[in-house]
Amino acid sequence: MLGKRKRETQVVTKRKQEIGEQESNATPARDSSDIFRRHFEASFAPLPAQMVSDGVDDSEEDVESSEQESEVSEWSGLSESDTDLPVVEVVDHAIGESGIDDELHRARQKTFMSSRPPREVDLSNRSTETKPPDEDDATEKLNLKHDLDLQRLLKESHLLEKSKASRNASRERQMALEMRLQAVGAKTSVLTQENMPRSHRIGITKKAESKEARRRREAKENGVILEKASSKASKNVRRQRGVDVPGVGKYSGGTLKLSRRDVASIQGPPAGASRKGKRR
Amino acid sequence: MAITQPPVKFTTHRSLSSRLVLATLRGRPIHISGIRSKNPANPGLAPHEISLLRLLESLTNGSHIEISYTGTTLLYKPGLITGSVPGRGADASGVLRHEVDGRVGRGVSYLVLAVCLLAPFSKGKVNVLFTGPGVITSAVEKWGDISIDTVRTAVLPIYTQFGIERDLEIRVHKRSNPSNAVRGRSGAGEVQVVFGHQVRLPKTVHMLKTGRVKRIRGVAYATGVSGGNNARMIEAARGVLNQLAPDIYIFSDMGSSQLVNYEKAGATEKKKVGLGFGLSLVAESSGPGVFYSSDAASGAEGGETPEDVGRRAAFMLLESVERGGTVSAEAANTVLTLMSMGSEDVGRIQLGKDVLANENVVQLARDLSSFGAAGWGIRDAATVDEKNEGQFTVSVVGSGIGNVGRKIG
Repeated sequence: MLGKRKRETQVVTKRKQEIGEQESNATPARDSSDIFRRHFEASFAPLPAQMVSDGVDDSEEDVESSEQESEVSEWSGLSESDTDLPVVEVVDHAIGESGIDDELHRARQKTFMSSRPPREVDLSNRSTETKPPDEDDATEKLNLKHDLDLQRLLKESHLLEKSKASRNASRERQMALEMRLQAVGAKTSVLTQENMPRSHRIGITKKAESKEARRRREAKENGVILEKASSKASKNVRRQRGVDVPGVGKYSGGTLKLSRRDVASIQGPPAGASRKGKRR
Repeated sequence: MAITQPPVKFTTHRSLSSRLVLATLRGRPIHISGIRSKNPANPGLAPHEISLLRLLESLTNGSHIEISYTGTTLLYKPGLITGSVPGRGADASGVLRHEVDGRVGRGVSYLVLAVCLLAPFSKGKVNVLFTGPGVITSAVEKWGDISIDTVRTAVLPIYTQFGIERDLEIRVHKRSNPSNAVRGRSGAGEVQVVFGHQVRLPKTVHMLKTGRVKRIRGVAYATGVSGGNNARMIEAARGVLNQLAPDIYIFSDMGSSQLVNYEKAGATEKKKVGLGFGLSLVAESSGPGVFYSSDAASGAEGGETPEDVGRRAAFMLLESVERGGTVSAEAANTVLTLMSMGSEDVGRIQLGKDVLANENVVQLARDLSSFGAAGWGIRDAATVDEKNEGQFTVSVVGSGIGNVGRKIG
């Protein structure tokens, strides 16, 4: 019984199937699936290419008739590729976008599938000359190494001189490293102490100030001319005022106060100003 | 006391979001009456319109909204657009959470497009997180809403033409198709819009060169359904488009659907919400800032094969390309509004006949003139160049209002 619910079954005869044939006899059917199949075939035409022949019902009568035949089997084995085996059509939806190299896919994904609106991605913009022409890679590497060593020697030579005078080698190594980092492009130094107790910092700055003052005083007394004194405060002069504040005047308590000069800068020079000015 | 202009009067619910956005940008109060007054079943404001009003209230400072008892009359006095300011609506990290009500059946692009129009003219950065039981990230064909991918790939790049390009992001945290599985819940997505570039005045654009379509990109998304749907949609779309464009690439985004709690006979059960799939296609043209897009998604009840959805999206894209112009129908509202908010200079774009004759665009022109903006100049582009058959050059003069919060005295 197909399905869980009892259904009204029609008693139909077993015959060779043709399209549109009506069931009229009252002989019981072999299978309920047969009924459904016949009902289906009554409504729908069969597919044009019937690859797999359904010989279940066709041979119904044949089976009955063959039982009466002789018991000797006439089976002689399978014939070689006699019948056309049904060609199995493989539909594979799992195949993704193949044939595109990883780099291009990653570049596209980066521009298009990130959360930003996509920009122009153009492979032609990227540098095509990525690798130099094929030279001896070994000599190239050796040359680079020599260059680097020479540059380092030239830069750190004054440090090496100091180290000869038996100072701690670790200090010179630190300074050399610090120089290299600055050359590569570090913004801040590794050696500066960022956090220290307030009393320490005050003491250090005071000592530095007193040393500088002493140097200047001694130089003045001895008649040595030094560079002009510059204070750090003069460097950080400009301060941010804010984007939406008015460009002229002072704003306080809901009022914008414009001085005489502000008004003049807004109004511009008076109408008859140019007569008295420089004329050539 | 400040002298206020009398409110501009409108009727019916048509172009309601466009009118509210224009009012906020120009700082003029509006009065809309007769909103679905003849509709016996659902009179008054619809849930998506109420959600938009809430969003405007949280994005602005000092706005005043009055809705009549029946909901058919609305008075909106806009305030200044402040964006997501920590402490005023936004939380400490500067993210403004907007809970979309579950009865909103429209795509979240309806709200996102409004936010993207207001954000360049805000005082501070805009960072809005759309969450809640009504966020639908896919296209909603019933309402004609585009998917959030189309907003990101076809509408936002046009902002670059106006000089707004930095810090724009639309992050899709969770995807969702429209769903009617759980009562009171139409979607389960989550979208974050980050708009960090505010300008004083958008640049004047002259987008007259349509060019030719040079590549087609797209996103096939599947939420809670098998990823094979994506491949099938892509294959169907490619079947149509491969012979027409050389460079086609469609990305596949697969995700799981969200499980939501719902009450069933007293007990709390979990149900998957927002299942579905869809395809968003964008055709980029060689003219700068010219994008044609199309969207197709499976229905909430299902029953449509991915091949059908893919083919439909491809044909809709071809229709959009056929309509032509430098601005497609999806972006026309955005572009024309931005142009009208620009400096007092003439900007020109080219619109196809069917895009210009669309009722939304015509209504936008009428609304702008109600607000006091100058009229548009419309000229047949075929007089300039024979190739532009069926195109119209629209000249828009900006009003010079721009960003009020960025004015420097």
